[in-house]
Amino acid sequence: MNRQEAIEVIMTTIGAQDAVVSTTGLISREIFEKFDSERNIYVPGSMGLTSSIGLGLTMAQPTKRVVVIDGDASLLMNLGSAVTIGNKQPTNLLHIVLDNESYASCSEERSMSNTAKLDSLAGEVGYQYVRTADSQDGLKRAIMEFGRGPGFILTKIELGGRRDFRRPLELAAIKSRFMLFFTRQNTRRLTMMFKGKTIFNASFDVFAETYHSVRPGYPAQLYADIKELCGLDSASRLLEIGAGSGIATVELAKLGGKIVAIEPGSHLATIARKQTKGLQNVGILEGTFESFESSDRFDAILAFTAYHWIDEGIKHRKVLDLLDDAGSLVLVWNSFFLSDSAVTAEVNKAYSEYLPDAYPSESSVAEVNEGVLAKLHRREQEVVQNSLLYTVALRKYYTACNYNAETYPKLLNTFPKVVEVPEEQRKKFFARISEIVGRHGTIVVPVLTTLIVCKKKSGFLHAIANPKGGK
Amino acid sequence: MNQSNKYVFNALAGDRSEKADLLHGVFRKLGVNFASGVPCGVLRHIIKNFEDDAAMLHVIANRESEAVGITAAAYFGGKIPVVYIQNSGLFSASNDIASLLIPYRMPIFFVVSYRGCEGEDAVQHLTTGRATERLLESFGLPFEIFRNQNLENLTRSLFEAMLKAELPTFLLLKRGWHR
Repeated sequence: MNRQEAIEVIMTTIGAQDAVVSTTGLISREIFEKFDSERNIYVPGSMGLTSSIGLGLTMAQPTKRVVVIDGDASLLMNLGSAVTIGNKQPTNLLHIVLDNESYASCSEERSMSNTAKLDSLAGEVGYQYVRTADSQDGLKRAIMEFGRGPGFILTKIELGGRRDFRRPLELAAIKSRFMLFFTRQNTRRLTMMFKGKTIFNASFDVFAETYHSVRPGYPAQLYADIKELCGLDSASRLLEIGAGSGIATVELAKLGGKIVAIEPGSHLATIARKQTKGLQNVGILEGTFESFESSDRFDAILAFTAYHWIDEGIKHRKVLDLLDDAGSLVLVWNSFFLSDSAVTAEVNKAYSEYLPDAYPSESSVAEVNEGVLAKLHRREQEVVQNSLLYTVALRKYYTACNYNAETYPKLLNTFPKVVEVPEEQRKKFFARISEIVGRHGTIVVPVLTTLIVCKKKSGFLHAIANPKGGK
Repeated sequence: MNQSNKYVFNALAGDRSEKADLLHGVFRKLGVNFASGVPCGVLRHIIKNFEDDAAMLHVIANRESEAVGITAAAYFGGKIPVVYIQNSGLFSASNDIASLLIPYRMPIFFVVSYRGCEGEDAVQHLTTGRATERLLESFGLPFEIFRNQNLENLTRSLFEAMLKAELPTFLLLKRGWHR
């Protein structure tokens, strides 16, 4: 495998939403010429800092996956960075080193990676996922199997290949588009959330953008767990309900199966199509789950913070009809809690002061959190207690998200109860919130992700009674 | 601890600096939420405040270049970062400032301890001490030396200059600045 082949495998295998940091010299120049995109940041100077930049990105945006494409000499130039990464444990970092044992971008002088066991070293300093690859298939597999980081893939490549690539020159412009890409965070569903409410239709697209930028996504481990718990492979058929703008869809596509994703909002469906463009295994359908018809049976039906919006009367029955007898229903919710802090106390006070109709009395952190948990518990119980389903897994993932004076009001503006307040009143409230958060610098929002995997009860009993093989 | 002043961080430590606490409060007001650097005795109060503040993402780096890379990325990711280093380290990270921060036009605030000035007792600091201001001048980067001016006003105006210029910007602190 040469550099060109390795870069092609990497850039076509990693997720469409992953950010890419590439090192000095030919690696950056080849990626710039062939795979330039808003998600790329090139490190044309400051050789060696690629992995430090990767680390900083994962810390600033813990829900975004960051792929670092490094070289052996560049890694050796800033080897201490591997120790820092091992210490900080960014689960969303994948560090790929293209190792040709040379300073290939200069005149192919020998580096010293030939006598160093860089993969062992990565494991010793604390990388959680370490692989070596010396073929295109091996590299592809190593990237696809990556779940929880920090990850390290030592990729052995041969010297040689084209050298006459253009250089990235307009760095300030590359910075601007990268920052836009990077802060335009994971998405959530909008029309499902606000169906029946015409208030947003006028400025829907603007609002959808805001939604993108502030709602946190789902942890990488969640997707790995879904794959394992449902036994998904490239032959699996998946149905996603309420795909929103397709952020979870893109992650699900990486699991390998064929996906039909339904989204009732036409704007969101358009965004989802754009996000999944080029993914052969994804189809986006505009429409409601309630009206969805198919003769296919699915191995998994999945809903990300969406299941509670489906018509109560028909949803379980419809799921059972569409699910293969051995299939899985996968339900995920993000719940937003309050952190016990001075800034939260002031924000809570502002609710009752500025939005007295919606929030007549001031609530304590404990009361609000109990309420959030109670709502989540009701949603879980609805599934767990259903007599036609059998829950085989219930998992929790905890993330603390940081918001500032600009992003926190935007986050609040995605919560239905706040959204229903008249605009004039909402504006004053947001100005006050912005002032409070600005004074404190940051507000931490604890997010609890819940995963439930269940089977058809009949299918589960059949599988129990007919074990494959035996001990 | 004085509960009415939320920016008092070192009140319980024996070695406390009101100036460092004030500076930290100014950073908070300016939205700073990320810090990385390499420790230096002259900056110990500043580093302790970063470390003790739960709202601050803080990475102690192995070398100054690493801190430059990490904070550049923090800025890409929407954070407002500060780098703290000694002026000796300013020289070792100078190419990273020149080849990463300047061409990408990154407004990153540096707090730099200024060794090798009058009264310096360590010979290893003399050459870099003499060259520090000239290095920053030759790079065309904004900087100020703290000489007991109003620290809040000085920091705020430097921060504003930094955002306007979109360039790394430096506050130089000499030994004893914190008293």
